[in-house]
Amino acid sequence: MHAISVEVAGARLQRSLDRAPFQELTLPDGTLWASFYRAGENFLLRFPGLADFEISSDGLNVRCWPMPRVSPGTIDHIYLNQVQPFALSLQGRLVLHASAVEVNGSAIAFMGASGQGKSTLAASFVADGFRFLTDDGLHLEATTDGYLVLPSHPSIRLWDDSRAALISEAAKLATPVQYTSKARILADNTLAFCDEPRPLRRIYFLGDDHVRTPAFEPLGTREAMIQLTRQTFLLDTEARESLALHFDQLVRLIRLAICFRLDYPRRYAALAQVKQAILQHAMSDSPAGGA
Amino acid sequence: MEPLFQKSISIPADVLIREVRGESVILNLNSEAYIGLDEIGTRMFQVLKESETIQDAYELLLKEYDVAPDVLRRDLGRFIEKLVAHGIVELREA
Repeated sequence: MHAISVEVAGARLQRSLDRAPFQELTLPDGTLWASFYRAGENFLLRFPGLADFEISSDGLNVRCWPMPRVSPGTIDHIYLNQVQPFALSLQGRLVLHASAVEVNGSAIAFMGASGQGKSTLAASFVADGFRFLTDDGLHLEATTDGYLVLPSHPSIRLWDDSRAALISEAAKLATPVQYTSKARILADNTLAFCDEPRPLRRIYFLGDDHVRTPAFEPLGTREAMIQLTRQTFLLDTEARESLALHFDQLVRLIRLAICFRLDYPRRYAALAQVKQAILQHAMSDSPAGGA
Repeated sequence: MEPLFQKSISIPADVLIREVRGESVILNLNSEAYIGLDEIGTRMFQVLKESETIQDAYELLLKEYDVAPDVLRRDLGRFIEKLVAHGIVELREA
């Protein structure tokens, strides 16, 4: 992997641009979260009221202009969660919205839309002594027979209720950020981080919570493609080569037959049962992934 | 024979098709649209690709599937219409 060079320039106001964004991201409440523009051959990612980030077309260089009075911690947070995955996608890397934990030397990933519980599920494994590889931004590297999960930033972001239920009060917190009350908890002795690549064994797409017990179902080809496409960081969809490469990366992932839908009750009291079922399913060698 | 069935199909260069466990996923690089075909759709598509005319494909599929001729003709016509609408195939004079 080529390292990304990041430069934080002086603060500046966000002047209106003379072109329309080619993509916009909104929060669940409809608030505009980010606008993506082309800037010559490069890309400008604007986070309104927070910062502008310009990414070079090869994904190797990032320059940031924070708005005045935006904290370095906030910039760091946006970079790690949003900008870095998109920069990696420009390098031809496959990065998906998913958390991942290490189980018996392999990686188990949890994928789902924001708020579906992927960080909470990962944190619950970590609370049991497992190590986490990422809480979002699942960075995959192809091998001869599958994919490796590369370790991400050693921190997990959780809402207060999940943090209170799963994490020790003594856990180290990163400095608060200005756009979310979600805490970033840093890895330490009680929150173990796996800093080595691990082979990807399963991807669980977090589904409904209208079930009493965890239920697993293999994802069909078309459903897997839809879900993976939705949860992909991909910035330059107009570049045919990168779009074709990305398509083949997803096809390769689907061919591994490791994608499953997981419906489970979203109650902290049920987490022990859910984890046990996942462990049993994930370690099964049957083609359908076990029970 | 209706005019459509006298034609053949071709696949534009900017359409990527991959088979996975009997199903197909297709990416149109122009529209950036992903399309999926189930097993029957995948077989229909395969036969259409390999046949000189759509009529030839129709006759082969009629032998393979337990389906009324009128139903197959209608379904095959609609299937091709959708593929054309998504830019997955182009129609050519055979």
